[in-house]
Amino acid sequence: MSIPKKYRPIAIVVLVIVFSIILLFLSTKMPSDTGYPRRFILDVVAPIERLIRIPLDETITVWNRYLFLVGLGEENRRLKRENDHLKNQLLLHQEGYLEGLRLQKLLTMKDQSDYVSMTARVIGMDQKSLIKTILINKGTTHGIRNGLPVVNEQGVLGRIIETSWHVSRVLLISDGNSNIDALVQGTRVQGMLQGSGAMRCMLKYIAKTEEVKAGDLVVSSGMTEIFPKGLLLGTVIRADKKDSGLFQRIEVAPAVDFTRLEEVMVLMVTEKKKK
Amino acid sequence: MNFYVFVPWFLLMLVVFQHAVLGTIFFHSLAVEISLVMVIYAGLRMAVLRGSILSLILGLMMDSITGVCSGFYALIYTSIFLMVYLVSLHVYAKSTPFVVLFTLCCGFIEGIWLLVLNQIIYGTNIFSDLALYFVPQLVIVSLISPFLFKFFHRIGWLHDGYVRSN
Repeated sequence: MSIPKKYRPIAIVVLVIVFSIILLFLSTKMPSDTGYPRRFILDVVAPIERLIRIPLDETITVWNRYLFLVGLGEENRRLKRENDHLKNQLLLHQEGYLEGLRLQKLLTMKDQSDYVSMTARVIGMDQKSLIKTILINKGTTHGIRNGLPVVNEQGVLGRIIETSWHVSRVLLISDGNSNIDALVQGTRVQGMLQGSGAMRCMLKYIAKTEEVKAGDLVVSSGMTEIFPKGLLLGTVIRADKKDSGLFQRIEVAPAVDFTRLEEVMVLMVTEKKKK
Repeated sequence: MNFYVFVPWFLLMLVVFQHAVLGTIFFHSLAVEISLVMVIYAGLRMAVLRGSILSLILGLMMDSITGVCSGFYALIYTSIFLMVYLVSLHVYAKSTPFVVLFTLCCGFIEGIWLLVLNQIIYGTNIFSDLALYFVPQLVIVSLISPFLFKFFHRIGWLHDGYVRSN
């Protein structure tokens, strides 16, 4: 039987398709071990595929590593920015916390004091000039007037010597112009505490017969109306009787550290608290 | 004669390239089936005997590589070859848009074949897999098919001087 020439091509293809169907039928109905052609193809393909994959996999690994490093760099930059931001925040929080602690001490002191007091913030310091003063952010509009004592949780700072509406100047007890009636707490010996300039005060007019030693506390005597009685002024650091004259030379370290002033309290000594 | 000497090795390289290189490039999530384009090219441009033998060998190699039972891809590729051959008798098949669209159509037919044969032979419904993976890879294959056509056209021993011009 001969196939017309016109249909020969189609007949060839149909023959191939029939072969495929038979092959498929046989391989599904009679499953056997992997045939030799398949084994051959697999054996040829596997090493070639491995050879091709080695450089490809390496390239992909390098590329992934590069992407990872790029991501790492970006993440590093982001973390640094975040770190800076957090550092600033931490600093602010620490400042707030420390301020809170200081204000808490002042409040405690305010509660214990018999006098009405006003908390003020130090806004300027002038301790290197001839007159050692600080500026606070409260003035006459807040009821501040000249002569009022200024203290903090450590002790007496000084007194108001100048006021404007919203700012006042405080003369520190370490200034040479500052004179406060004082007494030595242990022996109750009275004298005059005068500033000597270099963060030091001198307790004057204490007779050589009186017993004063280093470490004694010096407090306000309350003899004048400016400073109430019993406020801590400083600590005796040296008492010298060798000088000629009637009085001892007594050096006193102020109780207050003038280099670390931030918040202070002005005592309104004319107004007693209503209890 | 060159054809029958070179074609098995050429197809082997083609299948390996498709499986190893393209598979790696597309992270083995898409199988860019350039073997299908080869079959379509054979149906449109090559002599019938050569084209049908090429489709059969290519199908058998795909069977071996993919691990399906023998004759699975061979049947799909030869039947697609027949369809392409019959179409090529009636259309002008040289323009690029035609190649792209025709590859897309053949890809869909292959998808239907895969669905049916899987259901018949393995009893599994792979419709969701086809929708997820087959369609995107089909689009890629369609888009690159004109370039592959040009590449296949340059391989002289595929035709031995005979190229059907439709």
